[in-house]
This record gives sequence, structure tokens and C-alpha cells, in this order.
Amino acid sequence: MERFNDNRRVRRKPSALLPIELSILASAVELARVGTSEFYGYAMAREIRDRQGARQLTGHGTLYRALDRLAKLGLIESRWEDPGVAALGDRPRRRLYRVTAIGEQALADGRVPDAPRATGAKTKLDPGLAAP
Amino acid sequence: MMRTTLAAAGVTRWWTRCYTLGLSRDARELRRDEIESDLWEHERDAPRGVVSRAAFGLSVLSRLVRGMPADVFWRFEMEGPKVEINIPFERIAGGLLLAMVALMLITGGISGYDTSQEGFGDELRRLAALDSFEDNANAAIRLISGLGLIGAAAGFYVALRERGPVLATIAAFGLVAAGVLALAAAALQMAFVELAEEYVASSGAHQEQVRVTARGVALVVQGTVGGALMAILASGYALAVLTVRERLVPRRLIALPVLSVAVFIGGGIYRAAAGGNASWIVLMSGVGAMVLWLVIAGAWLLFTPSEKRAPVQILSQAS
Repeated sequence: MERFNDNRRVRRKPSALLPIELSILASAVELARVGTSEFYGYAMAREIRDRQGARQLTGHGTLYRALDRLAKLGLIESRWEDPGVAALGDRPRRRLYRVTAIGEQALADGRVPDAPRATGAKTKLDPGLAAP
Repeated sequence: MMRTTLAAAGVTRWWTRCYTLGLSRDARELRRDEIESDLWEHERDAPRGVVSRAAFGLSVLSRLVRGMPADVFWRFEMEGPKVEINIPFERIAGGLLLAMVALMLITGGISGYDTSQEGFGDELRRLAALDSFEDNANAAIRLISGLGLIGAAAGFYVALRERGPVLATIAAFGLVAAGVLALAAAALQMAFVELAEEYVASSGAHQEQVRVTARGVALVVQGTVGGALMAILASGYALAVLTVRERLVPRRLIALPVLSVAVFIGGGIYRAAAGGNASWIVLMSGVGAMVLWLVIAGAWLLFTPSEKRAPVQILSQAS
């Protein structure tokens, strides 16, 4: 019998953070430091590219999977932008993220803190915040 | 918005719909809305101009392809405790071998242009004369073939890795490389169509400049398609060795891949030693032998009853 995904669980400790997750946290903390407390997915991809001097933006799947996991771990939190604001800009609504205190701690430690997590206790991953 | 841009965004939306299919409505809409927002912001952020817009389309496709493995893993995580699929692996492998034939022909069919200096302007006029439906349909088929090659790589790896991990990995790697090259060639081809239309609409020095740029793109497309075909062939050789070694197909069938390799080596030696140019015959014979193997081996695996039919089980456990 083939256990398709189990090898990932063996290789990766639950408290470990991947480089992309650390990059997101570092960029989010830096953005907050200069007064931008909230960010959206594409802005984060651009920020990571600029910070790392990379030529390419992070892949969609890589970025949003990492954001999803960070949210489940309580290291960032998210909300959907007010539809009125998006309508004023004539664009789709943004999902806005903000780094939490636990997220800042995780960045400093390079791993997920042992303290109880906001939403990380769930065994089955849920989609996060539902769109209003 | 340019055709290249529209197609890149369209493929991204199509892929997002694919991997979110079957999830709860909230989860599905959340991911789709987020990707929609990302595409909009990315498009608005991209520089203007024909070449820049084509580069933007390539950038979107690149982000899509590089994120695909994470999308698949994300889907498994969302799925919950477990997903089980029980399919005889011979059937999967046989179907995929036959699919490879179609994918190979579609991929190889991208570069059908005479790229010689003389008469290239007529090639551009011929291309610009095609209606947009035909252009879009061609682009869609080629993009699907690129994604199909990547999907076939995953299928072969899952179906055959227990039988031969090294050969299955080589075969899968070859197909992923071919898929990425095919996607790149398809995207470049869309940019090529845009340039052909600009060539017809312009005149004088600008027209000549567009002609030179378009020829450069056409040559890159040819090279990319050639690379994709070589990667498919390499993958086919790995699969041929694996299927014969594991006695999945009759041993005598190995003669076809051996013949294919011999033709390519013989052609190379002839060219180096005698300076002769037999590239067309060599290419057709070598590829033809391999295509024949794919058809026979694929049909054998797909239609021959097997008493030792081991099911492939994909069991995903959410962490």
C-alpha cells in the first residue's frame, strides 16, 4: 500500500517553518514597521521578490498554501476587504493579512512557538476565513 | 488585454477550478477569489507595451506552473483524513502511454513555420490571416498538452515508482521538463501571433524591426519544441526499459526503442563522419519507432487482461 503524503509528515516537524513561510513573516514584519500593517497576496509576492532581489514572483500555489498554513498556525490573521473599498477601486476584493504577536515570536525563534495556537489545534485544515 | 495575457489568466483560472473542484463552497470560492485578486493586481502592476505584455503572460504561466505542486498538496491537506483511488496500474500506464502519443504530436506540431530569412514575411502574413478563434483554439490545445504532460508525469510516477523508482523518476522528470517546455513554447507562440499581426499592421523600418523580432521568437519556439520532444523521447526510453524489465509488455517490443536509439546514433555518426545531412529521415525514423512502441505498449497494457493486477492506492493523510 502506498502512503502518498506520509513521507512529508516524517520529513517535516510540525513546529518547523519553511523558507517561504519565514520570508512571508519577515516581509510582513518589515511592512508593519514602515506603517503597512496589512498586506494582500500579490503585494507579498512582490515584496518577497524585491527583498530577495529575485527575478520571479513566488508561484501562486506556493504563496497561498504558505499563507494558509501560517493562518492555521495563528502566525498571521486575515480578513476580507470591505466590498465598498474594492468597488471604489474597480477591482476584486483583496484578502488582507496581518502578522500576529505569535507570528513575530515565530520569526524571532525561527520556529512555531510552543504556546497554544489560535487555530492550529485542528487536525483537518479548514479553508480559513469564509468570504462574507 | 492582449491574447497572451488573457490566455495565461484563463489557464490559471481553469487550473484553480480543477484543483478546488469538490471542496466546500467556502473553500472553493475563497481560493478562487484570492487568485482572481492576485491576477488583477499582477496585471495592473505589469508594464505596458507589446513585448512587456507578452512577458507578463509568461510570468503568470511561470507562477502557475511553479505553484502547481503546492496546489496539489494543498488540495490533499484540505481533503481531510484520506483519499483512496484504486485503479490497476497497468491500465493507468497504458492509458498514459497512448496519451503520450497525442501529446507528442500536439507538442511537435507547434513549430510548423519556415524560419528562413527569405519569405519569412509571407509566413507572418499567413499567420496573421488566421482568425482569432483558430488562434485561441490552437493556443488552448497546446496549453492543455503542456499541462497534460505534467499530469502524465505525476501519473507515471504514482503508477510505476514501486516497480522501478529510479526509472519512474527519470521518466517523470523528462515529462515534466517536456511539459514546462511545451507551455513555454505555447506562450511564445501566442506572442509570435501578436507579432505577426503587428507586422501586417505596420510598415517601413518598424515592420522590419518586428520581422526580425518575430523571427527570433520563431527560432526560440522551434528550439523549445525540439527540447520538449527530446525530453519526451528520453522519458519514453526510460519507460521502455522499465516496462520490459518488469515484464509488463513482451520483451521483443524493446526492439523498437533500441531501433530508435540506433537510428539517432547512426544519424549522428553519419553526419559527423560523412558530413551528410540526413536529419529529416533520421528524425522521422527515430521518432516513428518510438511512437510505434508507445502505441503497441500502451494498447498492450490497456487491453491485455492481467492476472497479477496490483492496485495503486493513493492514501493521503492530513497532517
